[in-house]
Amino acid sequence: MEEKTALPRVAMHIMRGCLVVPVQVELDDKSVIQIQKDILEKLKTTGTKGVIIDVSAVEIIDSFLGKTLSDTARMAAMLGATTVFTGFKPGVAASLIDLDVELGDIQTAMTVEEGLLILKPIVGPQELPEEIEKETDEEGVEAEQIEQIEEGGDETLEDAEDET
Amino acid sequence: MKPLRMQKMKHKTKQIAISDEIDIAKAASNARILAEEAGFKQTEQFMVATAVSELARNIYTYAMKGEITIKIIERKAKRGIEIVAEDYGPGIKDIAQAMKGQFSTSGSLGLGLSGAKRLMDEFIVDTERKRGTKIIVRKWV
Repeated sequence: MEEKTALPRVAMHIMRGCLVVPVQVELDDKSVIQIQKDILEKLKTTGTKGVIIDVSAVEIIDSFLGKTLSDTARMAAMLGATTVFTGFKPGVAASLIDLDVELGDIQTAMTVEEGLLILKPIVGPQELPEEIEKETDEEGVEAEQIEQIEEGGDETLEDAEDET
Repeated sequence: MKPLRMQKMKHKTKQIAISDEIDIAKAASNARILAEEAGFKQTEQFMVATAVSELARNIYTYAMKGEITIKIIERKAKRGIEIVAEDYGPGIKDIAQAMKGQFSTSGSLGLGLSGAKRLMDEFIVDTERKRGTKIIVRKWV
């Protein structure tokens, strides 16, 4: 590993043609900026057209973190990708509304699976080699696939780190 | 739920010095824990924590250094949480403007204070001070 182990990095993975980013750490300024960088870098190198940022493990999103996340979706749009946020907790949603963070243009879904469905027509038929090895069964293995993202994430993470 | 006023609460207090970006998240997660102890539901715990995050961010952005004090409080039969955010920075010159939400002298969002106010039940700014800023917020279970 590199010396920046102090900063928890988010593992991201391509699944069904989408870049899936499960945010498993409690966010702080540095980590959210790192996530933003990593996503944009990954979009550039893979040409992925769909991004899912799963925030179901996140409890606190304040104005800065919220703005950085929504900015990330807008930046991704400039790279031709559509972003769907999944799994907002009710308390996080309530807070973001009270904080007046500009979120009118972001897309959301309850689960990663729903997010993938939203993005399906955008990413189109999948022919990326990455997912042929990953995809075992088309349906009903959502939980397993999420496991795979976490486990398989390390490789993709190192790739991203090499370039920064 | 047991009647709260029967037992004498040891009023729990947590102090977090704010001098680094990472202290913002630290203050917020401490607030979440104390809000849970005070008896807030999860949704409200997150709202309290987010308000603390904004107050801590306000300190870090405008004053660089300061302190957040989080306390479980009781008033009559009510239990709640109180957060005091204190710094010795330049102070807020125009508090009315700052509360409008758009105002920002640091290039940051400037939504923080008005957001924290909406997230909490009570919001008091100590304007008597010559130097620095002291903000007290409370939320009741």
